[in-house]
Amino acid sequence: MLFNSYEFLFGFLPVVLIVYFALGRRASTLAPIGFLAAASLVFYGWWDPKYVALLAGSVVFNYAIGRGLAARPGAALLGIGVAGDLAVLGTFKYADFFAANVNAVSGLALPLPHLVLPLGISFFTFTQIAYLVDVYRAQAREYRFANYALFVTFFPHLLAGPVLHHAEVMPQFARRETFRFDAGNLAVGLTIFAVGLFKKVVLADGIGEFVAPAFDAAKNGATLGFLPAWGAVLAYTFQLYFDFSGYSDMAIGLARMFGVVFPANFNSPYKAASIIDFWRRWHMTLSRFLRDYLYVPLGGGRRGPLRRYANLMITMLLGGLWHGAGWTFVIWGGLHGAYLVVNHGWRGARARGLGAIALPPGLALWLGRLLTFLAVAVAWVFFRAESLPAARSLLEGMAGLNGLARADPAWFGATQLRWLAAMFVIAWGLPNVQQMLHAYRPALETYPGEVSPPYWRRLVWRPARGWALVTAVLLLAAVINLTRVSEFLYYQF
Amino acid sequence: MDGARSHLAHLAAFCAAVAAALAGFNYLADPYGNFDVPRIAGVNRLPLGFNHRPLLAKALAVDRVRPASIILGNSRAESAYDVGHPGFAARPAYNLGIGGAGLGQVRRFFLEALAAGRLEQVLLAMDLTMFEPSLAASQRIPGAVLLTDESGRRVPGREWERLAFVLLSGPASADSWWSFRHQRDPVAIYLPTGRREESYDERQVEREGGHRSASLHTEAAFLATTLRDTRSSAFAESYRALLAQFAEIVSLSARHGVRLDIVINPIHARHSYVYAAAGLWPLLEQWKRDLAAIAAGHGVALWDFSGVSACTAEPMPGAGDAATKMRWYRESGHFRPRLGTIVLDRVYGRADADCPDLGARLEPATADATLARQRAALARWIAAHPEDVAEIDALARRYGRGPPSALAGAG
Repeated sequence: MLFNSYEFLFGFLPVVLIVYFALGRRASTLAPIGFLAAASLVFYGWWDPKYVALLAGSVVFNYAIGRGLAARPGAALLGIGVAGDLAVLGTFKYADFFAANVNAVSGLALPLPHLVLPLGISFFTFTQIAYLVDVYRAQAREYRFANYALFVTFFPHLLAGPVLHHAEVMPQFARRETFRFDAGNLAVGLTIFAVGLFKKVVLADGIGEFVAPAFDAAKNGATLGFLPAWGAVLAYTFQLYFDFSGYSDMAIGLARMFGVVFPANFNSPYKAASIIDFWRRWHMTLSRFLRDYLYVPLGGGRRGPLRRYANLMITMLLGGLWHGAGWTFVIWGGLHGAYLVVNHGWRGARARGLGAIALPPGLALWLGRLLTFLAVAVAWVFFRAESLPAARSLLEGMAGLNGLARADPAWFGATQLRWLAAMFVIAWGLPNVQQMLHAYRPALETYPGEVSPPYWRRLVWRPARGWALVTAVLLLAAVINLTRVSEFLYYQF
Repeated sequence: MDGARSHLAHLAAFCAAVAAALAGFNYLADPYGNFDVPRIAGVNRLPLGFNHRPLLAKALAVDRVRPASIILGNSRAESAYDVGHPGFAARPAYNLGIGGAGLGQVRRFFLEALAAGRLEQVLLAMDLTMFEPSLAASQRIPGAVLLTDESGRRVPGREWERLAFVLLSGPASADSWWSFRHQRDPVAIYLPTGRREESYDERQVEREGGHRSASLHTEAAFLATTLRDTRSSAFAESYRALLAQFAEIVSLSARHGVRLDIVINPIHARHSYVYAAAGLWPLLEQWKRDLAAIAAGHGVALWDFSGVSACTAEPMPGAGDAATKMRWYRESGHFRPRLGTIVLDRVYGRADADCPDLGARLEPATADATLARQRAALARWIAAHPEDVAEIDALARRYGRGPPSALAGAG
């Protein structure tokens, strides 16, 4: 089921909220927790009921391993758990990629299984790997199956994150007040949800109309000029941001309606002044996962700069592969790894007094911001392109090798330019939802202290008539446009 | 949190108030002519939603008009075939052609018209471009406005969904606003019969610098975006599916006693050469054979007007000549209603002195000979028009098309 669908907004969500808080009046928390887990399975099964068994099997398997690790922590058992999770993920996500590459290299003709990728498998696999490692490190324990099942399946985060830690969410379900209806939580949650729905339905889907024509043309061998190529890549840069950050806002807002605070997943990433900064602002819970469960165990930056750079490259290459089974994703990850290496190298040089350029702080900030944005946009070409030749075609266009505007008018026009201008103003000029609701603890701090307080008082949310009107307009603007139902881009990962 | 309950109450009240205001505005603006509201000059006199979103407006029109005769097809059908032609015996008649339509949209309109309950006669105007796979996604009709589901069954209660859509959806609201804004200087692109107003398209040709310039624009758009990936398995799959949809239209017509006539549109010789330059000629011929086989299987008449003939080879004004007017064509991809009338005269057996060599019945038994004649005619046109050919070849190279089809067996 999609958050941006009538059946979710006017059926599933109100019914589940009402029943959940009705059950929450009972003395035992088992009923509301069990109900919420069961409702989450219905939410998941709406897409295709047969994959509920896969999800349920994964939950049972990891719960059993977790219980075993809690009783007797051991690297072997942890290895079995992680290997089991990765085997399932690898089978569904990478079997075709693996077989195709073996065939290409060896000349064999291994059959490609063409398995359908179950929704959310990348996310619920990572959530559970993190849980097993946390149990092994004695940072988490869960003895009640219903609680564990809810931790994994809780529908706001099930399909596309945020990637949760058990320790940051499940203690909230241990508190009685979580199960009591709270108008404040509903008001805050509805506001965050409305912003997210608006981002997805109005902004992401709106700018998204300018993405496919040029990318498809590049895939089909057409030659794109400078303007159409940049127009399409910038449109995708904003589409992906508003789509995924909109989804994350919706997830955070939904959880809050149930009295649960999720970690923040986006912090205005296009305002980042460096690539290091970007990865602390974009898909924050995945970055945190990769840092804590891959980069740091590899040695992090503890064994000198060369080892740090190697670890960064490995982490980002695997991060790229996590997003999709294709060489374009590997190159995307590799590019970001290279960006990070350069960024860390530059920082190291600056720390040693090399390459110091005295610029006014404001100018330095905006130059850094612009450079980071352009580097990120160039990398998105590989993320979106369906093949390496298509990516190359777009990059040639962006480099001006095909002239300024060689294209059919369908690939670039005044409407697209107006959309892009609006996107820049929103992404660079407005505070994000965490900042606007700062006083009401909209999200847990994924990286402590990094969400700065709002700088413009008029944009600070409070429960008042004006904000109710703004929220109503955002909600309605989104709801009346649900007729063009579209899936979230991150569902495919 | 202080004030949270009153905030939620305000939020609910504002949602209701904004929704009611929006529904009221959409009702009064009535961009599709769906409601029996007073027509006020400068406010809602003309339903200009047709200009803004014809696909949606025509989908809504089917249930209102309940046509007995329809024309189906893409922009060529909607601009050049007139339902006022005496060949359309069953009335009311409505032109359901849609610019850029793929066969998927055409099928949906056919099912809608069938479900409306009094369909007797259909003219289906075909082009190979309607088999472009990407059109299925780019022209999706919102399900809420269709009377039928994908299989053509009438959906119970759909009337209420349609009403909600017209009163409270984003597209309808955008169309209301658009229609309201353009009332003072209305450019009604669509006639009440569903056909495009010819003078509007004529002005577009003038804006583009005349017939040749407009032709280049259309040809470039075709070469840039259409039928690019025809050797892939995805295209083969899509082609088979669309052919099945074509067969479904033919068989459903036969089953429901609907008279169906099928025409392949009379594109200009330049545009025929665009197919050859893009390497699509073998596909074009195969497509014609496939249509002929299906049509013949149900005893349905298939006419092919796309071959090179005196009228379809009408000379194109020279480069930079914006003054000379072509008689039969707006540009190479689109013919004028007067040529559309000759096509309809042929199909419906009416005498017409113009364009005597235009069109031929296409039947499986004679298809090879007909297609060979068309190939030879195009080869002669190529030999006689080196400047046109060079212009199109340059475009094809720019958009990475080709290699050009060898017109094997020509002559």
